[in-house]
Amino acid sequence: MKNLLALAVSLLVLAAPAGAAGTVSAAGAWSRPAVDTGVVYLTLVNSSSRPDRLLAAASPVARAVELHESTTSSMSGMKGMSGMSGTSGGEMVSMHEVKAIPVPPRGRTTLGPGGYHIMLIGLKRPLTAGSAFPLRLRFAHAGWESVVVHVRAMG
Amino acid sequence: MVQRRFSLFAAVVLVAATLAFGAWSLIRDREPALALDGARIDAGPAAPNVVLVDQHGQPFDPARERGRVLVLFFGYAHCPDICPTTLAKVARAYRSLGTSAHDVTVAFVTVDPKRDTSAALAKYVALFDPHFLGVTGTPQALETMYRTYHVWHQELPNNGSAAGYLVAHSSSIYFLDQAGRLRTVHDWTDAPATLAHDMKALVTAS
Repeated sequence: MKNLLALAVSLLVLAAPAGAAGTVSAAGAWSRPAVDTGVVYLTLVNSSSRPDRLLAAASPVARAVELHESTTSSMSGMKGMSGMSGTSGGEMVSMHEVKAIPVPPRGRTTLGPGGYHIMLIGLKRPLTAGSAFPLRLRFAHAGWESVVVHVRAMG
Repeated sequence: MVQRRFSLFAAVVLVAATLAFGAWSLIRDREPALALDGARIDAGPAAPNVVLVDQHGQPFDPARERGRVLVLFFGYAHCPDICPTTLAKVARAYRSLGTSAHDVTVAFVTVDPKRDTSAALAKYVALFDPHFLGVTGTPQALETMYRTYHVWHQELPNNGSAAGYLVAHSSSIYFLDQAGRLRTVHDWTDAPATLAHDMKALVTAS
């Protein structure tokens, strides 16, 4: 009985930090082989009832880590091409740094190709397929969270 | 009698001519039955006769790729998201072709020649496939390429990002047939299977 109580207490102690601070977790963090500039994609899961925001990320593998967003817009330039038909083509992509990435309460935000992503700038050495590296994420409410990023082979 | 024989002769000639025309029409109609998944371009521009340079320092002239299918994508090596996503898809499509891949050239043409030296492009394209070309060139030669394919690109102002400047650019993938003519374009969001389908269609159509 005493043992059982001790177990219950220790379980509560162990569970406490997760309940208090770690209300946003990151799942399925992956990256691609890269030489100079890299990327991290992952899914942020907010288990709390209030909105949170990813504010920053840090990793020892890069000189700088930033939050970015790619945007796609259609352009009219391709219309000048004779014989051009259909709607495919004429897309244009752009990218900008963002101050924060929102994670809705009891919801998730996916960082993936063509949208939000974490940019690794000035890689200290190339990222190779099959390797992994650490990444730390800072949230407005949930604080710091650590994840391991797996480098997946191209294609 | 002579008149009747002439009429018969004329009828035979007429029937023969009709049959010949019919057969020719059938052959003619069959020829453009090039089934492409991407938007079909009927009067696309011919590959420009310009000398660019690949990552090995070798000259690359798109007009001299005749007899091969040429796949072009424009981007820059500092691009972390769209360019690698696209090139990874093209690489997957390319490798799925098997021996047909021998008849396809994939060239990544820079929109950032200031940073994309041949050495930088060599390291970058090697991430995707050892056969891919990383192409740069003189400002004039690159401009000819951008103009021919209506490639838009714009260096974005740096708002304090450690990445230096970023470049916005067209995200289309251009497919040229073996005669060097642009036949279709795909977008970076298209699936590898779709890209492979059109590579194969253009390899088969000689």
